[in-house]
Amino acid sequence: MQDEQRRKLRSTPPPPSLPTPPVNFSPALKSHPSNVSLNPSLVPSLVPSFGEEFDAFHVRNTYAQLEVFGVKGDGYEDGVERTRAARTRLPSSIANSPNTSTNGTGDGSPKKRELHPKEIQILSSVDRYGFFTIPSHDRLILMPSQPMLKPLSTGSGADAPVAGELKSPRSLPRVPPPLPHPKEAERISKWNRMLVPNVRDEGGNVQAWRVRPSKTAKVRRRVYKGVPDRWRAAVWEVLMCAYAERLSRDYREAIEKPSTYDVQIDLDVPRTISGHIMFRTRYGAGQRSLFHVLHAFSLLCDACGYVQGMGPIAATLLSYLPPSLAYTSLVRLHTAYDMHTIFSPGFPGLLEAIYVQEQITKRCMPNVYESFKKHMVSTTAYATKWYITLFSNTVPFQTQLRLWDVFWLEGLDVFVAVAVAVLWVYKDQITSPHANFETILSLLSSFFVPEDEDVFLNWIEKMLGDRKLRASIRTWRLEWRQLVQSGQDATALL
Amino acid sequence: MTPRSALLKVIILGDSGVGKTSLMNQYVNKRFSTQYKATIGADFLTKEVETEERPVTMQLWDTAGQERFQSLGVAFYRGADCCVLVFDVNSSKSFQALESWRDEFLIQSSPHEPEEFPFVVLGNKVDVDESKRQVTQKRALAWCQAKGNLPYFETSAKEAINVEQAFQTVAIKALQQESEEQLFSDYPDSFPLDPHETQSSGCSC
Repeated sequence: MQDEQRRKLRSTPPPPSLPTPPVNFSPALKSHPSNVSLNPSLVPSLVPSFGEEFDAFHVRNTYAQLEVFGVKGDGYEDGVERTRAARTRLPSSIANSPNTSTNGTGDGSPKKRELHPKEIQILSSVDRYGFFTIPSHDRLILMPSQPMLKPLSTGSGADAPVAGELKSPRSLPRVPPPLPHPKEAERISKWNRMLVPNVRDEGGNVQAWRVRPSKTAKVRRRVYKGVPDRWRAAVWEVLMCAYAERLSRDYREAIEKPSTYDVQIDLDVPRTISGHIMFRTRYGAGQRSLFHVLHAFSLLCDACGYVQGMGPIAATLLSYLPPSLAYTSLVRLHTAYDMHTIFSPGFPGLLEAIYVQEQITKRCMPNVYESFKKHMVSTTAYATKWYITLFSNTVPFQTQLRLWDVFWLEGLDVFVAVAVAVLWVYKDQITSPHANFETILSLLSSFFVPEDEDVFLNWIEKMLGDRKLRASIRTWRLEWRQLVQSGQDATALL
Repeated sequence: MTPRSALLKVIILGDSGVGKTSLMNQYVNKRFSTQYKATIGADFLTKEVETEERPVTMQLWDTAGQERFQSLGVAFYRGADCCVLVFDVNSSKSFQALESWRDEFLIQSSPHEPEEFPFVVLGNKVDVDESKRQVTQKRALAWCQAKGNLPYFETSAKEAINVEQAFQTVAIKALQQESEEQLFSDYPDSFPLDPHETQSSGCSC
């Protein structure tokens, strides 16, 4: 997808009438260095690598060819399936097929046609993040702010079972549409003053930013308050650079290599992030980027390869960053942010996070802990997807972005804190005398819509600002690793 | 111990993308969506079912199809009353994988009589064009026969074909299994003390 398009999606919803050509839905290959810009005369047919299975090659080859020809109606049509079910061989030249794009992709010349009415209709209905429909979820419930007015503490008896009838969590008919924060404009100018250009390209455009030295003390608070969406791409980049040395990997080189995970990745690409305009069209620019980023990432680490769960993470990154940067970010996540341990076989990092979560629960919400024990609710049953997808598809996209703002700053502890926050909010339901295995698990498998994101983030900020707790978290992480080493881990979790 | 009286635990297994989540949702919520995401870890839904014997609550566990998630499976395979094996009739590979899904399940869940444990096999996506079909009914039936005459259904979660019938059979098989497992667990140290338990199994002697 074009940077231009991404920027447009990010800022404000597009006005009903758009200048022509506003958004180029076909990949303009020559102008986008991070795309797999293959010269058409060189492409159609890749050669299978030694030992590569036909299915896997077929997947890789299809994406490579469509990268050149584009897909008809990219962004406003659903597209046609080519790699799934009966894997029929492609016609010898995919270019002759009626579903590849025919306008202005290969030659780099600008499109002359008018916008399709359906394109205009779709574009005018996208929200500020790029969703043309807000995906529906089962078990949508309101996550109230009231419990979060009190911070997490030990021995406060805050989770003592409540006598009498308890109101069940309020369910919502749909996810409310995302609204800009009332202070968004004010914050945009604050971030304007806080960040200064670090690197400029030849034309003087800013390529990277850094924090003005006199403002470094303000970064943390302002990240928790929420990064204005217009600044998000730059800020994520700044925070990640601060967290880890920037890695440079040759993304394009990886795309050319085969991966044994291609068939699985291809299966997951179209079902990763529904409702988002970038990823709607089968084999559209967005789905291709997602495929390529995941493909390249699957080759990075032999142990991790590809795991379901990487998809939503990559898709979120791709809605802010061009493919090569999304890939670089995944590499940093893998190495510097320790996601390697989350993804690798046996999910050691997941179990460690769960152990820490349980230790905090045991100390700060002993009744909740006992209730889990009594009803035999193991933490993996509900928290696996929280940690493996970093809370994608568990909270509204807008909330997920707020959590990620903080994640770049703090690392994986954030998600432990989010998990603890959820338990904290619903402690009454979990400890209720009427609670059972089903009510608890059903509740914790919900999609959580925070009543007030600021309150939610504030609570997490307070929790993670507690130095004693942070020190304990470090200790528990080490403790878990020792338990694993001595083979005592099997009985240490709920 | 939680009362096991009328609660049946069912595990749904099969390769990634064969339609496990869709089948479960079609059965429980009577709807199909193209928006289902890959299942990470596991998810569950419950459904109240009437059988000839008595009403039961089925606890359906939908699992991740990617093999790596198997390591997290152990915890909830235990105590399962029936296992549903799903493949896609348009994917030979997903059919061949049934063997290892079955074996893996038996190892992890360690039922008392592995040979007798009830499996139900579903060949899903029969709505897809016949020309794309890779697994014939005959081939699927032959395999089910060889594995101890397992019930086999050709389903479509999308068009709601045979879904209800298939899960009705699952309920009946699970109920039979549950009563048999009860025999093993009703040794002296575990008399049912729970009042619900006594009520619902009151007339069996």
